[in-house]
Amino acid sequence: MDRREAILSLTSVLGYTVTPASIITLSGACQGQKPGVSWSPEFFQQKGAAIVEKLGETILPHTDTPGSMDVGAHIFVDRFLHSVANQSDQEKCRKGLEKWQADYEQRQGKPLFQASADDMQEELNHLFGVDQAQQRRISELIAGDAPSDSGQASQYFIYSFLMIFKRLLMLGYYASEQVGENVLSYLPVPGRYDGCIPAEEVGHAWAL
Amino acid sequence: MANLNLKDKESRTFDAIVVGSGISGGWAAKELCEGGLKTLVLERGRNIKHVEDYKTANDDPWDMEFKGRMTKEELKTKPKQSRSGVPSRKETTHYFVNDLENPYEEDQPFDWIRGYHVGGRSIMWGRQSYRLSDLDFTANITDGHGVDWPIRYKDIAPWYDHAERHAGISGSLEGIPHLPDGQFMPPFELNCVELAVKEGIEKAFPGRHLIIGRTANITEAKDHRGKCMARARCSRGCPFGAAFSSQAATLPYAEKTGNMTLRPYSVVTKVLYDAESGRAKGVLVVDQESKEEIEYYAGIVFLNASTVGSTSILLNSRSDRFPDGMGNDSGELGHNLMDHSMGGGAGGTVEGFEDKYYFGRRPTGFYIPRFRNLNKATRRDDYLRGFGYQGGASRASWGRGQKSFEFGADFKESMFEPGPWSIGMGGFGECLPYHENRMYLDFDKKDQWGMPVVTFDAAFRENEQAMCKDIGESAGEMLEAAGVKNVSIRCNISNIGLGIHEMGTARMGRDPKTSVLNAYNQIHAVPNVFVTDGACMTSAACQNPSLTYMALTARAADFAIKQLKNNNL
Repeated sequence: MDRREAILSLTSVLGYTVTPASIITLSGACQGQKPGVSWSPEFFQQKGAAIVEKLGETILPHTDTPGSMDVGAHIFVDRFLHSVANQSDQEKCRKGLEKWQADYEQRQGKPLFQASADDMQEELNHLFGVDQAQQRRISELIAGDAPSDSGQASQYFIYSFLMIFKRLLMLGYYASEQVGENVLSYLPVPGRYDGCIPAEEVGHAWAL
Repeated sequence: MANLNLKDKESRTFDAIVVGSGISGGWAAKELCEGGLKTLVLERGRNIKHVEDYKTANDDPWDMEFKGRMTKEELKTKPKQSRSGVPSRKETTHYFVNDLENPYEEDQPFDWIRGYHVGGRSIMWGRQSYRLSDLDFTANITDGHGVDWPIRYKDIAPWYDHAERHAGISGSLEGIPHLPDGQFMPPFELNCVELAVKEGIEKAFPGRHLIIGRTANITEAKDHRGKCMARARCSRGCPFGAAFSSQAATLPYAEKTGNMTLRPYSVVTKVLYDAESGRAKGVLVVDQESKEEIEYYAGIVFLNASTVGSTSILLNSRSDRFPDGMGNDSGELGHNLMDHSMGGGAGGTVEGFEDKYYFGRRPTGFYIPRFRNLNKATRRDDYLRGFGYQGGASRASWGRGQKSFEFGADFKESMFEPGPWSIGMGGFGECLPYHENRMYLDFDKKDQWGMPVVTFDAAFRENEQAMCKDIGESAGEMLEAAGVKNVSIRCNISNIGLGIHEMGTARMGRDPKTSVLNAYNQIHAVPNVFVTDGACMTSAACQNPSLTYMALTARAADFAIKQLKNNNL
């Protein structure tokens, strides 16, 4: 399935309203020719949408298997945050994205939405590439309520956003038709149950 | 459905009326119709046609918006139903009531999770099917809580046989005295990790057993029903008819006799009492859509409207003879409400077995039968009765990466591989029959069908709390003994009701002064009214109760048919 087909099937499966013209520009956006996005975000603002599109593709990049943009996983996150997520998660994502942008601009001297794919890669190395002790500390931090200390609060919201985003992005991606039916091992009607077989007989994990 | 002429009393007269079409109602319908009785089956909700109406049966996650998660807008009609998992999913939410249209009240929190449609919860139930034993039937008389069951295992054993043979229960013969073997279809297999953990537990704790769950999924074709296809999408409605439901396994047999009239959209609000004969003469129905009131008449009435539903109808059936509700001479109607506690359990990860996997999606897990308070050697000082565990082992999916700090191409690809093995189990704990745990009707508040609103005033108490602690600790201890790593235990006891095993409120007993029903589920003072759903339970045991409702219903129906033939009703 080529990218255009992937996008077309995405729109039909998820029921998103995307006009033919916007599919063309969306395809263009996929190839990184234009900044900004041509899909209509419901939760994010335009700049935010451009950021999460790049963020999603950096977390789950296109290889010889589909990437985030191939299946529209980042659009799934936008729709999910708008219609399904609770107020607390919405708030964390709004504030987190704001604070991340401010923080990035201060450190890098340019707006986050203008970050290139390489810039985003570098930024995630910076944010996610922390040692295990730091990871534990951050996980504990975001499991609680927002701290009153402003520096801590900034980190709290940024990582809350990133982890919520990643969690939903993976749901949108691995539970997509392209990945579920074509990459993972898909068998809707197994017909029987065997409790113990060589893993190599199955290959990739079961989709269902 | 027969074309009813509602104005004609004769057309509204039957040999028997069954109120409800869920697990026990479907059984009552089948047994009474097969016994030759013209039977009216009243269901308060809409019809769900077998196969045809299982709209989500084949949906993959990507076929559903938000992969099956419900939007905030959609959840607005389910503030209470969504306290449980299955009602909160797109695949199954249409089988659960709209809380705004079907209100109930809580003096203390009670999760009342239910569906109003033909088949009731027989479509969405967990299907675990275990017999009670004399350990359970003598529990009350042994420790003095509640009243004695008026039956013993020998009274119900042939009816368990009957229920299992017809329903189709897959399971293994184990020879465990307090979890009697039955008439089983071939069992599902334990997977490699479960087998290893079984060996570890049984070696470290002689007398404890880890067995395959006994489940109402047929593993061999039977009549019109196909064998289980291992899809594990049972609660969406099984298009193969392999999972037990009223649609698949009881109503078609009732229908085939030509004796059944099924009327959906029929909210029964009262059983009608005839003071002269001292018998019920029928029921009052409010049409769910038109709100029209219609009386139906019959020689016998089976109440199978669910534990809370059946007792509500009786509490609302007030007369000069029964000012506090039909059959409530004892004052016990609505009391002794029980459920099974949840929230105790343990889990961990299992090393090795990375080269092993499974094929298919098994519609059951493993079961660890009760091992506490069986005898002197297993007696606990801190609580009475016992619990069983249900659990399973599996390999982690891509979900394992959702909380990690990894990202990028290698990470993405690694999540396509099956992850590490983990195993988990949770307990169902027996709840004592407390008179104080009750439901009652708020006669000042009525729903749109004129039915006073059900109000719950019940809680798990010290005995259940102490047991829940042991459920967590014992689970952890067993997993550790079996070599499971990173074991974590939990004992956060659930709200009462969340087990979705409501029981009691019209208990069976030997003495009309302390119970509502006799040994054949007849109301002591109104012998042509039978209650054979969960309301009849005298104690809760710790086994999943539905198989017992099936057996008690078939037994009571057989008794009723014989009594009718001898003109004793």
